[in-house]
Amino acid sequence: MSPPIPYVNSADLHALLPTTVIAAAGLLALVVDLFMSAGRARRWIAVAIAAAGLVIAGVLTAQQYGHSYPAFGGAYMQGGFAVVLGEIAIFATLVSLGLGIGIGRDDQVAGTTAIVLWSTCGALLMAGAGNLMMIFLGLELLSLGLYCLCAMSVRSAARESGLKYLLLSSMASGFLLYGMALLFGGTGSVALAAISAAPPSPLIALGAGLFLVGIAFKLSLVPFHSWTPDVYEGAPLSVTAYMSVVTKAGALGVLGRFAYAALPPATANAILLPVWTVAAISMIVGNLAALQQIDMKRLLAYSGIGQVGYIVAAFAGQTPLGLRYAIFYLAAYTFMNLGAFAVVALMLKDADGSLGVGAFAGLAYRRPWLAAAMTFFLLSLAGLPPTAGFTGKILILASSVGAGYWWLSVLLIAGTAISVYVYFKIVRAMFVRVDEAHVRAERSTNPLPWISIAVCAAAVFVLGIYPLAPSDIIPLAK
Amino acid sequence: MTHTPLGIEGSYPLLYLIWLLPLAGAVILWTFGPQLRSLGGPVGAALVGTAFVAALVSWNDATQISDKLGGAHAPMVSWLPGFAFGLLFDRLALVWTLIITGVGFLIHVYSIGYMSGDRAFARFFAFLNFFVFAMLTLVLSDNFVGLLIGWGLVGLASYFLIGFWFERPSAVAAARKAFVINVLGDVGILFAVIVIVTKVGSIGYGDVFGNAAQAFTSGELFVVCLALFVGCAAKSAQVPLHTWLPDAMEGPTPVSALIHAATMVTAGVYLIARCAPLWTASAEARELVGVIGALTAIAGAVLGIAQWDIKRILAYSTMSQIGYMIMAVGVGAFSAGVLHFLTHAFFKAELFLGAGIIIHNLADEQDVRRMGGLRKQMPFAFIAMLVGVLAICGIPGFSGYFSKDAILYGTLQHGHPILYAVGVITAGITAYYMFRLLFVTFFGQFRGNVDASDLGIRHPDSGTPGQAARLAHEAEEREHHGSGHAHAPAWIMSAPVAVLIPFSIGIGWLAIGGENSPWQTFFAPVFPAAPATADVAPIPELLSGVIVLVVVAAGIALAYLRYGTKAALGASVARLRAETMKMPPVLVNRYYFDAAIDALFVKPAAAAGRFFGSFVDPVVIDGGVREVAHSATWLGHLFRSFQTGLVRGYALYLVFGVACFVVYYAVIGAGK
Amino acid sequence: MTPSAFAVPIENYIGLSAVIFFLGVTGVIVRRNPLIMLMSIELMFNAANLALITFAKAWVNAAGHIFAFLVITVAAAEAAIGLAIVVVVFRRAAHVDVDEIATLHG
Repeated sequence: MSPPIPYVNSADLHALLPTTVIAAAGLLALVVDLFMSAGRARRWIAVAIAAAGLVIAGVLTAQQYGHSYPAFGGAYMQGGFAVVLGEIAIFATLVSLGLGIGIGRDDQVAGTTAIVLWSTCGALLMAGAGNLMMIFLGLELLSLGLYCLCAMSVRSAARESGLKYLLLSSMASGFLLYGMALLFGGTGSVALAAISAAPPSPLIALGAGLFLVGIAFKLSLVPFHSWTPDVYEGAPLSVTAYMSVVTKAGALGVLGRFAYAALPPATANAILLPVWTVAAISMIVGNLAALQQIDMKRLLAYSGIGQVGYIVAAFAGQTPLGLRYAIFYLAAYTFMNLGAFAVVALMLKDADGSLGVGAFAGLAYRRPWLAAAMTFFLLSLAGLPPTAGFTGKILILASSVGAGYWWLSVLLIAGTAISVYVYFKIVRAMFVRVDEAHVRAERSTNPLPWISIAVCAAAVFVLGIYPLAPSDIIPLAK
Repeated sequence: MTHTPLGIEGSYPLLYLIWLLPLAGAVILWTFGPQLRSLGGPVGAALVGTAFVAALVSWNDATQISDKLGGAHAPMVSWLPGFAFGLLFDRLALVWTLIITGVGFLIHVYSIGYMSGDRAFARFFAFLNFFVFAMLTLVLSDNFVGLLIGWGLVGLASYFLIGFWFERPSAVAAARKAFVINVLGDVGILFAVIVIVTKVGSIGYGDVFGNAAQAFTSGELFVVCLALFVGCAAKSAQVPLHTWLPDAMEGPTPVSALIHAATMVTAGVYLIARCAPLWTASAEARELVGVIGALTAIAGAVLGIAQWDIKRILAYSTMSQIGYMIMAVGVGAFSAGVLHFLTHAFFKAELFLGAGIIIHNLADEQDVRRMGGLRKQMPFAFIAMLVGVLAICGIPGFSGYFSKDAILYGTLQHGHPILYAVGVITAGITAYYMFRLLFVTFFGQFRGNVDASDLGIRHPDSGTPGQAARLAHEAEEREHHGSGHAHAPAWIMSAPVAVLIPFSIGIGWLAIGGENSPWQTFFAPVFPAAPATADVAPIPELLSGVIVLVVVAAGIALAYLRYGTKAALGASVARLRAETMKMPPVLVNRYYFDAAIDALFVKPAAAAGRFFGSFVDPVVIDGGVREVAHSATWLGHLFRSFQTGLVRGYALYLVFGVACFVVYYAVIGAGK
Repeated sequence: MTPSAFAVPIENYIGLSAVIFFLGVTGVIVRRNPLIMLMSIELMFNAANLALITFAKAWVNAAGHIFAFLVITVAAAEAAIGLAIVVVVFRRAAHVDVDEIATLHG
């Protein structure tokens, strides 16, 4: 029997302050929108309110750095790595909203912006969740918003992606929830920490298995990935960019806490082995499947499957440094991936459109800066120096080799080798001279993605040449 | 449970090479078969040949002995305590590995000639390589689960190879029958493994054998041995699970030589020899296995008398000879059984390959009634077959003599005079029907152009509709090739046979010297001394040998009188016709076993078989994978093709993943 | 496990919930109507609810009950959004059949 939950005090509320601010910003955007007349200003106002809320939340989150506190009787763990994951999610939200100045038509933007903000709240709750109920709440809050956002377009492909995501994600939630029920049955408590204290039982093993299925689905690890390419391709660009990072940040927080804090050391390896296995499969399958893609969003979806495989591989053996390296690589992935998405956004007239790989042909001669930025981000995704992707991968390799997971390291290198081929197809296309009449060259009128590109490129470079300082600020496990 | 080591642990990189080279070959040939075309055969042969050389180089690893432990043990993965997977390369595994890769290599080379021009040339070698890999998995595994996996894979490879000519309905039917019966055997082994795991808590051979005495009651031990033996009987074609073997001759002849004579069908002998400690501890199991082996030996030999199809004659002789081996390992004469495996692998492969040369040159004719007089047209095939026949009959000096003598005398030593008598009679029958084969095929007049009805061939002897279709198909083929005109074999097919000839003669010499022979010394550290109930045989070995020889000579004389005399050869057409007409129905119908098996097992399994056929055959036939293989990035295409866009399909993948997870977690959950 | 006052053994409750859960999973795979697929997903959720409440009673821990209420709330929200998306997707379609929605693939 778990200890009774004490009355809520101000420290508890303070722990949730960033989340509350983001949720309130969403409400405010909706309310202000009621008094707006039609026009482009509506978009800017809604996005500006959201941006203000996100920046404040970012600052508030940063203040929690180093202040660990189990809020609400351990339901929400303030501080620790949740701070870093929270900042990543907030940054990704900001960039995503900027890719197309909000999502949808002018009269929809306030609503979609509010949904985006509330989904981010879900991700923040997941990153800090200390018990099963909080995990479920955060995960559903994130997912429910994403179902709507995916379908938020007049294109039938977007609606299809929304329906697919809804059905598959709900099903995965069902598995996750049943796993939680079994974990509860095995431990008698909803707290994650109770799992390590409880005697091992079949209920806990099965429950952990189903629980990990749900998390692997959110991380889109093979074979739970099949929704990813379709949903990424169908959803509006901003939503795809958002999903590719924010969902991962939340789910990684849950997996990290589960792997490091919830499992007894004796059985942790046996319980987590399938996770490393699916991560290894993801590295290979994701990159192989990316080889054949011609739609840019789809290509990034598959390559993202491989990238998440690398991140999860860092957990192998639950070394204390592994969690730090995983989060470091997630940060690197956030910057390089969002940078690439920003480049794609700048090449589209309509932020709701899609972009074929062919559009990159000869880009280096038409828009040299854009091509240079894209090359840099692709170098990082492929894991070549001097980028964050390179250092991140080296750190993960060091961690998995140190933990004795040689096979995982070998597969990581194999996956990287394949991915080099994937990304260099685009790089090569950019530097080939083509007749401009054959290329469907579009331009976005929105300048905001340039800001994202600048920030992301700088971050990728700094993390690439000076990785130790930032990785030191990421709290060690436990 | 105490942990018992198996061999000298260490890292043996060559061992992995031996094991994985054929797998690499299978993958390469399957993937790039269309590009490799006629190179596919040499590539497959070269990989198996390299594995053979690697096995030879590793000889000292396998034979090393220190501190009562023998052989090389390379642990690979340890999953849970007691569930460790690795490779074990000891003397027993060495013998099997050398035969699998060595004879396998020769048969690969032979197949380059035999299968040339086949549409799916490279695919054939992919299957052949895959079979070698599966067989190596079976013999190199250091635990029961690995053995079971190899056991199953071997059955699968056999299914593909028997049904290789899938346009023949009879081949597909034979493949399905073999598969169904073999799955029956797999279930037996699976059951045994489950019992072992629950009782001993480990899957490693060392742990199981070391703890068998404490973990099992004698009743349980008998059940384990019985369950294991069901698997042996299915794979090694022992009565009453033997009926698939003759039908399996529908596969290409090299397949018959490699799988259904030299290697796979002897897996049962291997398993019993490997589990010698279990059998040594269970007298009832020994009794049962010995009786079944003897029964199979004589039943197969009697059926061999009634066959006209050259490959079926050899198939029944295989069944009969494996009966000998099983009888030997059953009574406890392990090294004698393994010796017979060794000699049999050579002379039976030689017989099959010799028969293959005949069949190949007569445009797929397999009926001995339509042969005759081939001695002059195909002298090389005649010499090869003659050596094989002399060896299988146990003529002194030839390899079969030594191994058969060791087995028969072994039964006496272990106190089974009745089994000895059965074995001796079987030796006589064997001599009779093998010489019958020799006389009818190679002496007298060529009957290939005699009208079928004059020979009494009304319709195929077994009367299955599948065979009628096959004969029709063959007639068509003959049309295509021109007349049944015989010509000399190409060197690529004769060379492997030529290599086999000296071995068929000389390999048995290893056993010269009784207790101190090289063979006995080689195996002395491996097999526990069986509790011989009658250490001193009632008659000396020399007398036993003489008795056997007399019976064999009688069999040969009878065959000569009936088929070999001038008069018999002169009127061969009429004689064969008369014999065909008055063949006893009980033999023609093979003791009605097929009908019984059909009603008992095959019919109930027909639904499953149909499902399997409708599911796997189209994949094999369409070769959907082959098409994507044309592209260098075909894997990418493959993964794309999984992404159908259908949400229910995705849900199914999800559930598949969940099922894998659930099985894994259920197992580790139960393990706690 | 804390002894509890179950008239029916706890295994029966969990067994029932497992059966319901399995029915739900099967429903998602075999049915082509997205509404029925959503209902099947609800079935999976409610199977988990049953398990949660059973365990809550067995452990005498109210957290399980609260969890079940949380799940019910979430399921309601999910149903609302799900129905909205189904309507949007199939507004112009004659049949409501997920197998006809497969333009995104490869």
